[in-house]
Amino acid sequence: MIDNIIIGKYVPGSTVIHRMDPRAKLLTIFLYVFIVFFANNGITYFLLGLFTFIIILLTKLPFSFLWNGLKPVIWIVGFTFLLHILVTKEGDMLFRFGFFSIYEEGLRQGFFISLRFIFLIFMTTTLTLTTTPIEITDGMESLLKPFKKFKLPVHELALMMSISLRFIPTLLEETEKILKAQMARGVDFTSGPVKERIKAIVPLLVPLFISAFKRAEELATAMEARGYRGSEGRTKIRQLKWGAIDSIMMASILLLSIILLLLRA
Amino acid sequence: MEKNRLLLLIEAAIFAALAVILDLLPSIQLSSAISISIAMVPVLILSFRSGAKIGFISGFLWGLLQIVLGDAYILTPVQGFIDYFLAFSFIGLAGLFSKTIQNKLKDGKKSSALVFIIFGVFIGAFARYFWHFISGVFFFGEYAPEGMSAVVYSLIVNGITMIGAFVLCAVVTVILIMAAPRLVVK
Repeated sequence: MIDNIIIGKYVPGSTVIHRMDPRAKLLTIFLYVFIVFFANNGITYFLLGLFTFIIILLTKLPFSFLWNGLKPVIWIVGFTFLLHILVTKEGDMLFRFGFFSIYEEGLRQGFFISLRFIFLIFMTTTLTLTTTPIEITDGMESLLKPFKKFKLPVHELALMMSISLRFIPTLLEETEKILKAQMARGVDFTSGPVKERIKAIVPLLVPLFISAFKRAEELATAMEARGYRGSEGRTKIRQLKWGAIDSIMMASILLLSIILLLLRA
Repeated sequence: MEKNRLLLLIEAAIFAALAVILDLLPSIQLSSAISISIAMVPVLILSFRSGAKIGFISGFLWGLLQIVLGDAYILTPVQGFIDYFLAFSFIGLAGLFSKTIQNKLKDGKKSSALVFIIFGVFIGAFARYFWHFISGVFFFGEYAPEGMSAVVYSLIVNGITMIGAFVLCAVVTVILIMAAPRLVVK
């Protein structure tokens, strides 16, 4: 039941987008999440869509990957679209059937809002499809460095994130092992009444948690023994490199922001 | 860095990873908007073991992990911040009574420890879904047409989910701690 689970969405590749500095990608997404809301007429939505489409093309990923990112929220997209169509009663009436009527403005609003939604999901999905979780963590650590002045424990957070990411596969394997061992004893995790299934969780979670505490203890001892002293003077195994493509991306998203601001209604 | 502090941070990290893993196990799905899972349990257990602050850090990491792994849905800046930075962190509030619970468990007063555990789970679940409710209001404020009551809709969806998550997590947490008190008593 756990064999085919893939953690994270990263798809290896060597395209321009894959090779970009994670800091540039994070800054681009951060800005994008804000400027999506600048678009409010045909031309601004078109430009936003064009930008998104070009980035997707550059990743050379099959569209199905993006579609998978959208699937879990497609009902929200549909729901908001319907709401706008049914509630907004402005502009010319396009269609009427008894109580039910569709107005031009409602259709327009519904269409634009759904687009905004889809663009956002596509862009955030593109980030996680082309960037490994650990790269994103490194990028976040680097970008948040200035906040160290405000006592934000940036280094500790990044360290904990990399420990979490490192241990997810290990713990998943362990979960699977315990699941199989318990199934061999006849515990049924997948069917039966809810009460029985909740009871079946206990022989899974207790060993899992106990061994997690043990692993934490071992790791703490190992780090202590190797002289871990927090962030001061620590070197990094992965170095981030800001290249020309990163500057180009930043320039394009800034340019897009300005154009959207100028052209919005 | 003293070893105890380092150990606490590592435990927070590993239990955030456990939350991610439990999130993958089949959960009880009432509708596509409402799914109830036991994923909060690791953060709750850790809050009872090491207090609200460590629970808070572990929850915060869980939120961050969802963003990094691409499981997060950020549809407006405010909604993204509240849903993934605030809401999960606040599960840690469950640990407000960690000292009381541990003392009672040590003294063998299981039934009164039980009351505090359930109360703690309630605080954690309430605090988390309170923020999801607020983010829902912002989200629908941004996406729903004018005149729709974002407050009512968000209240209903998050209210039902909160009650379900609270009941399920309370049951599982209670059974776990009763079966193995050493999970929270050091």
